[in-house]
Amino acid sequence: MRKKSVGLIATLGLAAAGVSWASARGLGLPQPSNNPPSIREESNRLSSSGTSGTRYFVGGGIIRGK
Amino acid sequence: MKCPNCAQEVEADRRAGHLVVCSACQSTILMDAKATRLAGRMAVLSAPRGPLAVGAVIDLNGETFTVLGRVRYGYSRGFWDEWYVRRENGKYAWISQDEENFTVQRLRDQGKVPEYATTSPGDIVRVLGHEFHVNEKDIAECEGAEGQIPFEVESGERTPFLDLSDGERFVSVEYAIGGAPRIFVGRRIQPTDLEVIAEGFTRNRGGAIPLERDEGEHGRERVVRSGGRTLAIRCDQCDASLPVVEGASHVECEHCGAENDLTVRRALCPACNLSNRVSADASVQQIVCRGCSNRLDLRGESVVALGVLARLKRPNLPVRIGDTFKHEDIEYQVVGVVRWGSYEGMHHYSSSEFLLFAPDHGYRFLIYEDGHFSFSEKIDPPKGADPRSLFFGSQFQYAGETWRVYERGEQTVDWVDGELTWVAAVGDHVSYMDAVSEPHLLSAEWTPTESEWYGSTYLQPSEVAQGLGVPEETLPKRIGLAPNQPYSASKFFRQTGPIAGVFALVFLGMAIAAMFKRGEPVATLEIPGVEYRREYLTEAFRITDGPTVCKARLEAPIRNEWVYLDVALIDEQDRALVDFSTQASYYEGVASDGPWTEGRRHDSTVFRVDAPGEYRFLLKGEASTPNAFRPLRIDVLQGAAISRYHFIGAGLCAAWGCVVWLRGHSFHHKKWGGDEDE
Repeated sequence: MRKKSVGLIATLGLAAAGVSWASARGLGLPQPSNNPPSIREESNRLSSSGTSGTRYFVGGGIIRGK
Repeated sequence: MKCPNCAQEVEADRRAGHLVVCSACQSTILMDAKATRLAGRMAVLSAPRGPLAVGAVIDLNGETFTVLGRVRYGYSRGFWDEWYVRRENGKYAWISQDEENFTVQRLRDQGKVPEYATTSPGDIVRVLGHEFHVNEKDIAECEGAEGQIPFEVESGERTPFLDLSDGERFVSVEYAIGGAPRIFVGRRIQPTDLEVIAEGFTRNRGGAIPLERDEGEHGRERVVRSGGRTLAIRCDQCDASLPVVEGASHVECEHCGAENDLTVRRALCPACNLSNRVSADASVQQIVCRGCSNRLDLRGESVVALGVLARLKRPNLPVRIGDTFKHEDIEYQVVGVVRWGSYEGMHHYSSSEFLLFAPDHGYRFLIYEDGHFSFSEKIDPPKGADPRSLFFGSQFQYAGETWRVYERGEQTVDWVDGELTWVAAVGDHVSYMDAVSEPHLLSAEWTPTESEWYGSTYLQPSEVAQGLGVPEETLPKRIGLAPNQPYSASKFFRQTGPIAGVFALVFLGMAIAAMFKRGEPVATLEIPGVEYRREYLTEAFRITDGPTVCKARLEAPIRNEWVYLDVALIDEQDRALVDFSTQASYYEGVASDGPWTEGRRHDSTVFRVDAPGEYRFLLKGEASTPNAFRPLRIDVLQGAAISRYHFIGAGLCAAWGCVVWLRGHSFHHKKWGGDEDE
C-alpha cells in the first residue's frame, strides 16, 4: 500500500478520534455566555417587567424550591 | 565415401542417415544397406539464418550436438529449416528453426494422430496421451536438403503437417505420403542457448555482402560484381549510382551525402531495379519496394515482385517506417506496417500493426488504433484455449490472470508497407479474438491453415511519446477507449474509495454508539403537575465531571395532549448558564383500520456542562390544555455523547466512496456497455 494511502488512513483515523473527542465534550452545543444572567429576585436583568412573578422566561411565574 | 556423380568426398554415416546430399554437385545419394545410388539433385539452399550449419558442433545447455543435415520446407507463409543433429549420447534429434523460434524435437514411436482432413487450427487434439492446441495446418513442400538425412526426401515433395503445442511441448505431425505419420515431440529453446563450438561448412552463411556476392544470389545483391570487379551501388537516399571500393563497409553518396551501409542485406526490385535496404534480419520474407511499391517476396532464391500497392491511398499514420521506438530500454526500429480493416455493421474500423525489430531481441509489434497504442509480441497458445469457442463476455484463465473476451470478428489487410516476416497482401483475411485483462490484451488470430496468439500491453501516451522521442502533444488524440486501456485514475485515487467506504462504516458505527450511549444517571427530578405553569426551580443535582455532555430525559404521562418546557440550567450562583427546550406529544385513537398512536411521551435533550458542581433547572411549561399540566419526571444523566459529527463523517466518507466507485463504474460501463458487471 502506498504511503499516500497510509497517510489517508492515518488522517481519517485521527479525524475519527477527533470526532469522538468532540462528541464526548459536547463541542458545538450552546455554551454559557461570558456574563450569564442571574435569576435572583434582586437581579436587574429579571425585574424589569415589574409584573408579579415574571422572572427569567417571558410570561414566567414564581420561583419555588429556593 | 565418394559422391557417385562427381567423386567429391562426402561425409556419410549409414547409422545416421538414409540420404546424403553432395555438397559439391547437390546430388542426392540414397544409402541402402548394401549400396548407394543417385536420386536426382537437390536445389542449392540459401544461407542459414542463425548459428546452425551442417558440420557445426553446438553446445545446448551443456550438451553437445553435431549438425548432420538440413531439410528446408516451404509452406504458404514462408519456410523453415529442420536441422538433423547427433547428440553426444549417440542418439539423434531435430532442431526446427522457424524464423527466430528454435525447437528441439525427437522422432517418437508411432502413435495415434488426429485425422488431418478434419482437424483445424484452434482445435484441441489428443496425441501421445496429452491434449494439444493445433497451431498450424498446412502442406510443406521440400525446397531442398543438404548433409545427411535419416529418410528420403525430394525437392518438391509435399507433406501435410500439423503443428501442435500445449504451451510447454511442441509437436509436429507429418503425414508422409505413402508412409506412416511421423510424430516429432520437443520443447522450445532460446537462440541464445545455442553456442557454436565449431563452425559448420555450409556456404552462404551470413548476410554480409562478400558472402552474398560470392553466392551470386539473384536480387539480393547490394554490390554488383563482374569478373571480380566491384562496380556500383545505388544510394539508399537519392538512388544515385555510386562507385564502391572493394572491401569497403560504407560509402558516402557524393550527391546527397547519405552514408550507405554496405554490410546490410539488400533486395533488388525486379520491376524497377531499385536496391531496397532490408533493415531487419534474415527472417524478413516480404518488403515493399520504396521505388515502385511492388511487394517483393524474398523467400526464394530470387526476389519476386508480387504486385503494386501504389494505387491505394497511403494511410496517414503517426509512426513511419525507419522510426525508432524505445521500450523498456530496448531500441527497436520500425521496419514494416500492416493496416487492418474490419466492418461492424456499416462502420469501418482500422488498426495498424507496426513491425518492430531489434537485432538482439527480434520482432515485436506496436499496435495503433484511434490514438491508442499497445506493445505486442507473439506468444505460445494458452493451454487448452480454443479462440473459436470464446464469445463476448466469456472468461478464461491464463498466466494467472482472468481474461474476458472483448471482441471476436474478422479483418482484412488494407495496406502493407516495409518489411514483414511473412508474406501479406491486401485483402488477406483473418479471424480474431481479443480478450482483456487490463492493461493486457490477449489476441488470437486464425486462418484455415494457421492459428497464432499475441500478448499486448497498453501504452499510455507518455510512454509512446517517450518511446518515439516526440512530444506527447504531437501524438494523435485518443478517441474512445481501447479494449485493454486501464482505468486511468491513479492507484491512490482508486484506493481512496475502499478506504473511504470502510471509514464511512466506522463513523456510522460510532454514530450509532453515540446515539445509544445512555450516560451516567445523576438525578431524577419529579415535577408537580401545576407548578411548571409558571417558572419553577427544581431540586439541585450534582454533576461530577466536566466538561461533559449531559442529557435531560423528560417523561410525561400525557394522552392526546402535548407539553412543552423551556429549561434553563442554573448554577450555584443562580445564573442561567444555557437555555434549551424539551417537549412531548402523544395522541392515540381508533380508526376504521384499527387503533393508532402518534408521537411519544418522552424526549431527550443534550446540553453541555463545563465544570463540576451543583446545578438546577429553571422550568417554564406550556401544554395543550390546562389539564395537560401533569406531573413530570426528568432524568438527568452525565457522560452522554452527541452523534451528529459521526454522521457528518460517515456521510462525507460515503460520498467520496461513491464518487470513486461511480467514476470507475462509468469507465468500465463505457467500455463494456450493458454487459459491464465489474
